[in-house]
Amino acid sequence: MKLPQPPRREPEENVIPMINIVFLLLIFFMVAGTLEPDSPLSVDPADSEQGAELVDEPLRVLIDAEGQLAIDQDVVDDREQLRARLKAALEEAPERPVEVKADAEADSARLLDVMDDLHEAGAERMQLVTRREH
Amino acid sequence: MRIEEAPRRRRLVSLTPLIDVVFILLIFFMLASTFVEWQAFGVDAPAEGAAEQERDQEPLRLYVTVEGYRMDDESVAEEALRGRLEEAYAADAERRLLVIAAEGAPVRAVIRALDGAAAAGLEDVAVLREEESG
Repeated sequence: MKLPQPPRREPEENVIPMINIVFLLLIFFMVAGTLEPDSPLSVDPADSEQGAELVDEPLRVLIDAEGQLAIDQDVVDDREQLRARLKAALEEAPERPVEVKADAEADSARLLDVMDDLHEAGAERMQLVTRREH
Repeated sequence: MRIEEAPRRRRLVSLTPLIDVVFILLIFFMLASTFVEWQAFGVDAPAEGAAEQERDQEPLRLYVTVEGYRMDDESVAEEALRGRLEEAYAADAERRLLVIAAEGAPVRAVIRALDGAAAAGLEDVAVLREEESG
């Protein structure tokens, strides 16, 4: 008995439009999004309408809602440690800009403490980070 | 003469591994990228009292307390803050603004004050602690 040959499978044919779309999505996420370094504390800054661009490669100081401090990637236990770290970092590069990212719910007294420490370490200016409001 | 039928074109490389890799990349970028736009306010970290001496004009003082904002001994509603700062700018565009944060006031309130000042056009802004202002 002669059986009809099964038709040849061609699965690739209808896959191409999907690949196109997936590539487009991939390029969109690569270009439009930004990858951020992992933050040692969870900090949710306040929104603001105004504000300047961020500077490149700053010294990062974080203040979370409970008032815990971190510098760059490391959590510090108290202001003593923060001051020592700031001093060491600013001695190495005195012109390095400083960026402070404080949680919206953090006590402003804590922010002022950090500003005093910055001043003592030799930084005259700092940037207070906010999220852009639309 | 017998002409051989042209062989059916087949894809030399299978597309499936490519799709797998592209999907994995897509998922990575979707999860890892953020679309938050950051910005910042430049803030002075002044030495205690040092910044105020050489100025002949009395700076404008905006108190940020736990209850709200206070200016010239009267409380200012949050919605009226922008208007008050714009008035101050219209009267004297060069006037220095001191944002004086009380203990317990959240950073959010300080940032709102800085945002209002930036929107009004005041540029000479410092953030201070309550007792420093005298």
